[in-house]
Amino acid sequence: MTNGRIVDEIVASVETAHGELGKLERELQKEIDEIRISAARAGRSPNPEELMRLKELRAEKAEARQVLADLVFFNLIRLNESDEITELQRKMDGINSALRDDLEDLKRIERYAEIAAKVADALAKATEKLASLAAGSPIG
Amino acid sequence: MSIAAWGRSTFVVAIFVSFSACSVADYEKPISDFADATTAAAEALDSLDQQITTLHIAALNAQVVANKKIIKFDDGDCESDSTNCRLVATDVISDESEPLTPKDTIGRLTALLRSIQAYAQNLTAVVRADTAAKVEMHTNSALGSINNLSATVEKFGGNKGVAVSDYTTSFGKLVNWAVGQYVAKVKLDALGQATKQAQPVIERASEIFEAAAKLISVPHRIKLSNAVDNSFQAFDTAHDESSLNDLIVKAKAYDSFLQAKPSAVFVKLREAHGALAAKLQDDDLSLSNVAGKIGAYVAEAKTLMKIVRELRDAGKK
Repeated sequence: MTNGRIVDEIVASVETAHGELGKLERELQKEIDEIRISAARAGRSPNPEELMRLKELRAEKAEARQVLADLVFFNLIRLNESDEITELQRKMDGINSALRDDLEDLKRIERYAEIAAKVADALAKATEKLASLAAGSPIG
Repeated sequence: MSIAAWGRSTFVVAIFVSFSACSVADYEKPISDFADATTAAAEALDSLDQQITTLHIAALNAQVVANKKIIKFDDGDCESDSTNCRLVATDVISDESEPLTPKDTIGRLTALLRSIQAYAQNLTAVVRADTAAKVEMHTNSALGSINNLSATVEKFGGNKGVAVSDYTTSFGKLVNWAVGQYVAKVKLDALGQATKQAQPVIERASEIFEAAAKLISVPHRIKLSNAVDNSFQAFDTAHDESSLNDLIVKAKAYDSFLQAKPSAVFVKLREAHGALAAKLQDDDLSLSNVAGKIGAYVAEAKTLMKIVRELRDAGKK
């Protein structure tokens, strides 16, 4: 499998392992239930020997779960370091850069309008000044 | 582009844009909601990353204390001539080592989601840019100057009969309308282009986030299921009401987590962005349908934040 689809491989391997763990947990739980039911049918709580066995079985479940937790942790690190993440990041950076350019274009339109307003204003002021000069001149 | 050429193009595009069904303003709420939900999802993933790292360190420490792993210096570390002093935990059977204090587990993944968050914020900035309003202000200022100019010319004997302000007012309205249409076109083009390019990236990224969220949920499941088993052992030993109540509480907490599905938000992210991108490519999809998909994403993002907070609080206990 190529590195591009390593993510799918990781997910599949963890799901398989999780499925296997689930089977093991249920088997251990079945033995736990049998001990408890047998004590209840005898009209009592589990005796010290049975309690010890229950503790061992639950510890086995916890230990098997920890193996899966370690597997998940290492696979998350693998997933995090996969080339596909680098490629997706590169593409998102490009898209964000283009969007920032679009925002710049919008600002450019504002600047064009601002320049046009300034030109009109300067023209109006210059004309007014010329007019007042003409009004004050002996020829006018 | 010269101002004259820009002016001509505004009128041309205005004709096209005036027939489009949705105005750019209609996209403001869906896009800003999309951005807010993505911000919440990114914060949640950051928090889940920290939590899973903490859980792993706690498990590692427990294995060291139970002599299943031994603590060693990393190769060449922690001596007088070393450049680092790092501790590693080495498995006593497989001899494999790992750092005792990893900083983060999925830092690059969270960075990728932060980029999608930045993208959503950039979309919001485009849709909210008040370019048309600013251009209108400048146009009105320019037209005011032209009116003054006309008044000056009139005063000195030119242009008798028709007031120039009559023309400039009508012309100003036309320019402002055309500019508004042009800016809307620029914005819609930008949104359409960006969402089209981002769609395959976000689709694949959200599949990866979904997978990561499922993986991240495993250590939490393990922690919660171990808590249920420990409470069950305590009940089997004590066989009293207090230990029974504790068992019920632990089972309920685990059940709530199992119903929550932290990965669902990334499915909704994919669907929400897909609908938004399709709509911006002139798809037949209605805007209310897009808003519905984004609303579902917002709801999932809120749920995820709640789960993350609950897990964080449970971790502190």
